Amino acid sequence: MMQTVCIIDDDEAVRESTGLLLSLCGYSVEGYETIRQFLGAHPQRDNAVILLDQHLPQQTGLEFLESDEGRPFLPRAVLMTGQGNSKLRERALQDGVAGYLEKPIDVDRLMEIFGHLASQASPAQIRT
Amino acid sequence: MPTGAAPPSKLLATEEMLRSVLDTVPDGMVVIDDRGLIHSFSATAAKQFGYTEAEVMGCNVSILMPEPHRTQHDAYIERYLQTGERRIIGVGRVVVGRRKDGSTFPIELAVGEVKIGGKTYFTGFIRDLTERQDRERRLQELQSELIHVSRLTELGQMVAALAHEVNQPLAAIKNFLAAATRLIASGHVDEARQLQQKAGEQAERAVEIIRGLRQLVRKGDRAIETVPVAKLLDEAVGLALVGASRHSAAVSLAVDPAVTDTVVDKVQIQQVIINLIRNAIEAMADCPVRRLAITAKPDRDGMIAITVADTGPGLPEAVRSRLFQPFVTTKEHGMGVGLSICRSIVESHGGAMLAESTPGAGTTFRFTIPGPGHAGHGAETSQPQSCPAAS
Repeated sequence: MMQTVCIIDDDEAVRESTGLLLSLCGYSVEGYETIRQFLGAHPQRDNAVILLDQHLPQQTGLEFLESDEGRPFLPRAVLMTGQGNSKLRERALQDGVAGYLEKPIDVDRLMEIFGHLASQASPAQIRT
Repeated sequence: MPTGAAPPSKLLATEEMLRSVLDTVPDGMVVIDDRGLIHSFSATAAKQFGYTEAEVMGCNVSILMPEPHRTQHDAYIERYLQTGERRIIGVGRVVVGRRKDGSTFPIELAVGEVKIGGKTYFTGFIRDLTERQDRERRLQELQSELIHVSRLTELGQMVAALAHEVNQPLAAIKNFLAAATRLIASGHVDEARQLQQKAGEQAERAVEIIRGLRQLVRKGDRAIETVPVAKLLDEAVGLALVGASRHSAAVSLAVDPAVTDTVVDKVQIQQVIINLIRNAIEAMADCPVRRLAITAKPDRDGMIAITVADTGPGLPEAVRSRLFQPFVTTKEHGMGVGLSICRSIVESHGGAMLAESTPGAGTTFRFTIPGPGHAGHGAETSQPQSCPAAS
């Protein structure tokens, strides 16, 4: 079955371009502007992996992942940020995100992370 | 003060106490008689002037002052004794003292008069102002430094915000192009072309962000004032070298005598200079000869030309032609935004900025700022900006 990737980013161009690239790489892609929209579409917390922007208007990506609502998504979430710093990275990895990437994201690294997630071959986090 | 008869031991103790008090007050004290001869010279005074008490006892107090007072001082006393006209007694003023080694220093002098047994004595209290003047100067330096630091911090924050803003279209461009590459590889050239188009739109978006930033620099609150060019450059050089190692470069500053004032936002123009100096020092880091020459000369139309010339490696031709465009940098960790902002600042003052560079022989940045007679100084310019991705 084709792996689904949910992109949550309020920047339309980032969402569209990342989605295009991932679909060309064989993923089924869904784009969401906000966390609310995403939660509305995935109430049962299925197996989709999520690619989440840190800088979102109402709540940061990491805040969501640390909340009760977001915690179940942590092992399948890749956090991406355009204003990265070592503190954020440390915190995200400590929380147990599947991956942490700085924008512009390295597509090969992303594929690697998704590959690991899909196969569940290695439960270890991918650190970049 | 004790009155009446006191036992000799107590008198002695009082005198000792008085002496120790006088020795510890920060002001020096000198007592002279009506002929100007020194009768008492406190320990502080000895420290201030470099003489011991023994050396100056009985000497004319004029040895403690430079000319013309040195030869005039006896006449000053004479005139006072005859006319009673007070010029310094009870008034206090800032004068210049002369040390034993001939050096001079600013002092605040307060003179009092006492009559003991029918004889007139004058007491002089001397406060060394050197330290205070240093402190005040340092304070002023710190203040101007602070203004710069806060402005630079502002700029830093602006650049950080800008970095994030620009990162979004850049991320999109990267993805669109990566997707286009994959499409081309699988023979879908038309679809790839569409993505290239989309990448171009995102590049345009990045350009818009930079344009907005330039306008911010242009429209920002500016404090236009008349400043001596020499002072402006002097301060900027000092600030640029803050934190730079002492041996980082030999800096020379030459202001043409015909150059007087400029009418600018001082902090903005100083930032341009600081930026150029720091760039130059960084560029020369690996060069055997590290000389930095800053000059100010009159230019056409009442403008003043400022040059900042280094002996660094020079600029590669590819960089030189695009130098003032945002995101062009030769620095490993540079953003390439600094020079673009510098040029915007100069242009907003009605000036122009250009770079001349000979590979291997160094780089000279030259920009103009309005002199006092320049008409329409500080006028807002609104000429279209050239943008790399738009052209």
